[in-house]
Amino acid sequence: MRIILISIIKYLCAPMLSMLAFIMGIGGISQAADLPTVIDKTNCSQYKDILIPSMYRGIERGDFFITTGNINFKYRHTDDFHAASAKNKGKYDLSADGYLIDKSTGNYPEDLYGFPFPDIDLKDPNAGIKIIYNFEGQRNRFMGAKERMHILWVNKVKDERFMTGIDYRLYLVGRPPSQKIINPEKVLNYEFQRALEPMSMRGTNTMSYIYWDKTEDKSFAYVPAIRRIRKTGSTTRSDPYMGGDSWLDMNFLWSGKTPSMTWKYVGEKTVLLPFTSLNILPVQDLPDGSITKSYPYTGTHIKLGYEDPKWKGTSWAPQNITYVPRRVWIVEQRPKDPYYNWGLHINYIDQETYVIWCKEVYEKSGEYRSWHTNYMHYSESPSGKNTVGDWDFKVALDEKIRHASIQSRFADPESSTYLPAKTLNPTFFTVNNFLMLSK
Amino acid sequence: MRRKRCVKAGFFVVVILAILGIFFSNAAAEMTSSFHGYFESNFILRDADGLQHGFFDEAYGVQQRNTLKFDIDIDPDMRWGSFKVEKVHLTYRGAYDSIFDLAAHRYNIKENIGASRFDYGLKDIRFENDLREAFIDFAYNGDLGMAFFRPGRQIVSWGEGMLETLNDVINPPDNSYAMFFQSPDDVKTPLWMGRLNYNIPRISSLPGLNLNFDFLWIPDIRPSQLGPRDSVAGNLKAGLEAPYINCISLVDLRGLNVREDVPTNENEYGVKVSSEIGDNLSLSLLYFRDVVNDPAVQLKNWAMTPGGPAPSLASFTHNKQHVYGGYFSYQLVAFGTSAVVRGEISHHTASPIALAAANTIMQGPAARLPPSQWVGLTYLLKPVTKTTLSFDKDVRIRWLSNGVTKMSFEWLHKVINEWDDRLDNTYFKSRSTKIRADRKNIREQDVFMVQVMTWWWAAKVGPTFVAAYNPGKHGEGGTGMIAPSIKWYITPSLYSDLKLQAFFGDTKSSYSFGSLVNTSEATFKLGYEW
Repeated sequence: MRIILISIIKYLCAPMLSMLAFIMGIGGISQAADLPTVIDKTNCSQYKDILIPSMYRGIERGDFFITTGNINFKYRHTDDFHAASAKNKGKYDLSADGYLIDKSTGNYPEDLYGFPFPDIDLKDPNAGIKIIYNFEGQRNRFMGAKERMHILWVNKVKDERFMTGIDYRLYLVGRPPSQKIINPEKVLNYEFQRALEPMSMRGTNTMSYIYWDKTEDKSFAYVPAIRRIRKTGSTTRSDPYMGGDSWLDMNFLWSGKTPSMTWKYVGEKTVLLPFTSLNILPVQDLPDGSITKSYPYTGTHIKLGYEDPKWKGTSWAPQNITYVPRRVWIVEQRPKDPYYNWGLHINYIDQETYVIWCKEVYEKSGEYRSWHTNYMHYSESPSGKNTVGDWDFKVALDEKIRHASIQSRFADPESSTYLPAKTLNPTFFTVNNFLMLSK
Repeated sequence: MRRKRCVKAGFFVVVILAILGIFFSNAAAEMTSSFHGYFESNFILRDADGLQHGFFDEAYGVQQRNTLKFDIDIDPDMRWGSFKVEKVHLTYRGAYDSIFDLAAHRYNIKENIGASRFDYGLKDIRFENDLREAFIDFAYNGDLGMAFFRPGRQIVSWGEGMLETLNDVINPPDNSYAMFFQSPDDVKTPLWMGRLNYNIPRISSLPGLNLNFDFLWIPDIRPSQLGPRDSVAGNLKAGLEAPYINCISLVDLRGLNVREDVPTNENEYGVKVSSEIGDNLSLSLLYFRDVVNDPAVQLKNWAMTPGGPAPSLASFTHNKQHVYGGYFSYQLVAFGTSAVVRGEISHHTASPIALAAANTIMQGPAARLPPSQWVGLTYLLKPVTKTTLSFDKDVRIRWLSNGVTKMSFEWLHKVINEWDDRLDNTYFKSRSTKIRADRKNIREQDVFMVQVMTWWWAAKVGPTFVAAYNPGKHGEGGTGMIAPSIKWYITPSLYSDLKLQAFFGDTKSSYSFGSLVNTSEATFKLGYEW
C-alpha cells in the first residue's frame, strides 16, 4: 500500500505540482506586478527561472539587487516597420553557408527593409540565424549614427581608466527605400570609433568595413605614436577593445558578419531585462531627417555602484535601473573562424523587437568568461521615429577577473541617429578622412 | 633666392592669418573646441659601461625632464556646400630638464653655440617652449571625391617599417634630448608645409578601387637635430659631453668648431599614391625630393700648422637627393592564418656614407687653392636601398595574458648599391691587423626585430617587449637591443611608466647598436593626463 501511495505521488502528484508551480509562479509572469519590488540574494532563488544565469549568480552573490517595474510605453517597432516587414514574408531565404538571399534572384537582397523573416518556424533548423537576420533588419533601420561615447574600465573597487570618443556607423542595407545608397562594394556596414581623450588614447582610432558577401572584412587602426594607418587582421574585431572587457563585434551585442558564425535556436523564456527609464524621453526631429538623442542621466554615464557611498554591492553595478519581464528567444552562436578569440555565445533576444539584450560568452575551451547587457530606454520623435534597440549603455563583465567595461552614450548636440545619406555616406569612411580625423 | 624667401614668408603669414581669421570670424560663436594633454616628469638613469659589464654598476642621471604637452582642436563649424573647415589644430610642448641644474658639475655646456638656430646650446636642451603643430584642415566632400588641404606646421609619416627610417624622411628626428627608441612622434621635428590629400570618388563600375593621392610641399628645411656640439677648435678635450651628443660618433670632431650648414633656401616636395588592390592588399608608391636630414661632415677653414695642414671647422652639410619607394600591407587569410604581412622598400640616391675614421677626401690642394679654401670630405654620397618585411599576428598566450598578445616580426635589409674602394679602411690597413681593413660589413646589413605587446591586470598594466639583433658580418660581432617597458595606470588620469633600453654586443660594430652599448638607460616616468 505504501509503495502504491509513493507511486501515485511520484507519477501523478509531482507533475501536477510542477504545473501548478509553473502557472502560479514564474511560468505565468508577464507583468512586474507578479513580482516583488526587489529581487536580491534573499529571495532570488524563487525567481531563478526569470533571471539569465549570469545575472542570477550575481544577485545570489550579493553583487547587486534588481528593482522590478512596468514600462509606461509600448516597446515595439513602428507600424510602418511592421508593415514593411510583413511584405517580406516568403521573399527571402538562406544560402547553404548562411548568406541571406532573395529567393527570386538568388542574390543578396540589397533593397531589404524590415524583418527579412517576419514569420519564423521555430522548428526550422535555420531559425537561429533567421532571428539574427531579423535583429540586423531592425538595427539597420537607423541608417547612420554619430554618437558620443564614454568608456569606463572598473575593477572591484572603482574606475581605473576612461576614454571618451565618437562612434560613427553607417548601414548600407536595411535602409528605407527612399534612403538607398548605391553600394557596388557590397558593404553591409561601416564603423569608425574615434578616441578623443585622454591624451594617451587620443587618435587611437579604428575603422571597419563589414561586407555582406564573402569578401574578408577590413579593419584599420591609426597608431598615433607613429602617425600611420595600419591594416589589422580580421580577428581584430574580437580583440579586447583598448585592452578592456568588450570588443568591436559587441556593438549592439552583434556587429559582425552573420554568416561567420553558426547560430542555433535553443529555446524561449521570460526573463527580466533592464530599462533606464519607465517613461518616454522625447527627442527632436532635425532638418536633415535625423533625430536628437536624449538619456535619463546627466554627465557622461549613469551612476555606478562605486560612485554611491551607500551602495553595498559591486562597483560596476548601474544604479536606478528597472527590470521588466519580457519574452526572449535564446540563440547560441559559435565562430567558424578558428582564430576568433571566443567560443560559445548565448544570446537573449527580445521576441517583440528582435533586439539582443543580453549575451553570455564562453572561452574557446568552454570555460564561462563574461556577460554583456544592453540597457535601454524609449524615445520617440514627433515624426514617429523611435529608438527601439538603441542602447544607452552596455556593461561587459569579465567574471574570470571580476572586471567590467561600461560603455555609455551621452547627450551631446552632435549626437544623432537616422542620419540620411546626405549627412553620412561612404566617403566619410575613406582612408583619407580617417587620416584627417585621426590627427 | 630672395624670391624663394618671400614665397616662404608669405606661406607662413597666410597660414597664421587664416588661423587668426577663424578665431575672430562670425562663425567663432558657433565653434566647439577640445583641450587634452598631459604633464609628465621623468628621470633617466644611464649605465656608463652598458649592461653587459654589470647591471647599472656605473649609473648616473642623464635627464630629469618635466614636460607639459597639450592639444587644442577647434571645430569652427564653417561650411560652404561641399567645403568645410574641418578643424584648427594646435599642439604645444614645453619642458624643463632639471638635470642641468641638479648635476651642473657634470654638464658644463655653453648656453649658446653658433649663429645658426640649429646649433643647439644648453638653453635649447634645458628648456623647450614650442608650438609644435599649428594647422587648419580645409575639407571637400562631394561629387569629385574627398580631399583635405592642410597648411601649417605638422608631422607626416609615410611607410610601414618600424626599426629604421626608409621612406619616413619627411620630418627629421630631434635627437637633442632623446634617442630613436623613445616615442617616435615625440622625437620628430614638425615642419611648416602644405599637404593636399585627395581620394577619388567611388566609381560604380570599379567597386573597390580606392585611389588616394598625398601631395607635400615643404618650404621649411631643418636637419636632424642634435644636442650641443660645444667643442672648441684647437682643444682636444673640450665639449661634446651633453647626454645625447656623446652617444653619437662625433668624438673624432673634438678640437674643431662644429656648426650646421642647412640649405634653408631649398624646398622639399613629394607625392604618394595609395590604392586598395583586390580584397586584401593596400599598396603605396611614392617619390620625395629630399634635403637629407642626416649631416654630411665637411672639414673647412684649413690652415698650415707645425703638424701640417689642419681644419678648424666641421661643417654639417645637407645635400639633396631623390627618394623612391613604396610599401604594402596584405591581410593574409590563406593557410589558415589570420595575420597581416607588411613590406617597405626605399631607394635613396645620394645618402652620405661616412668614410673610415681619419680618412678624408681633400678638395682644393690639387687645384692649388689656398688652405682656407680647402674642403675635406669625410663621406661619399652613395645610393642606398633598404627593404623591410614584417609580419603581425594576434595570438592568445594563456600563461602570459588573459587577453590577446600582439606580436610583430620585422626583417630589415639595407645595402649600399655602389661600393667604392675609398670607403674601405685603407688608412689603418697597413698599420694594424686588429682593425678590419675592409668595411664590407657596412655595405650590406640585416637586422631582425620582434615586438610583443599585451595587457595585464585588466589592461591597467601594459607591458611591451622589443628586441632587435644585427648578426654582424665579415668577422664583425653581432649587436642587439632590448627594450622592455611597462605602463601602469594608477588612477584613470595618473600613470607611471618604467622603461629599459639596453644595447649589447660588439662595441666596434658598424651597426648603430654597437656605439650605443654605453648608453643603456632606464626611464622612470610619472604622468597625469586629461
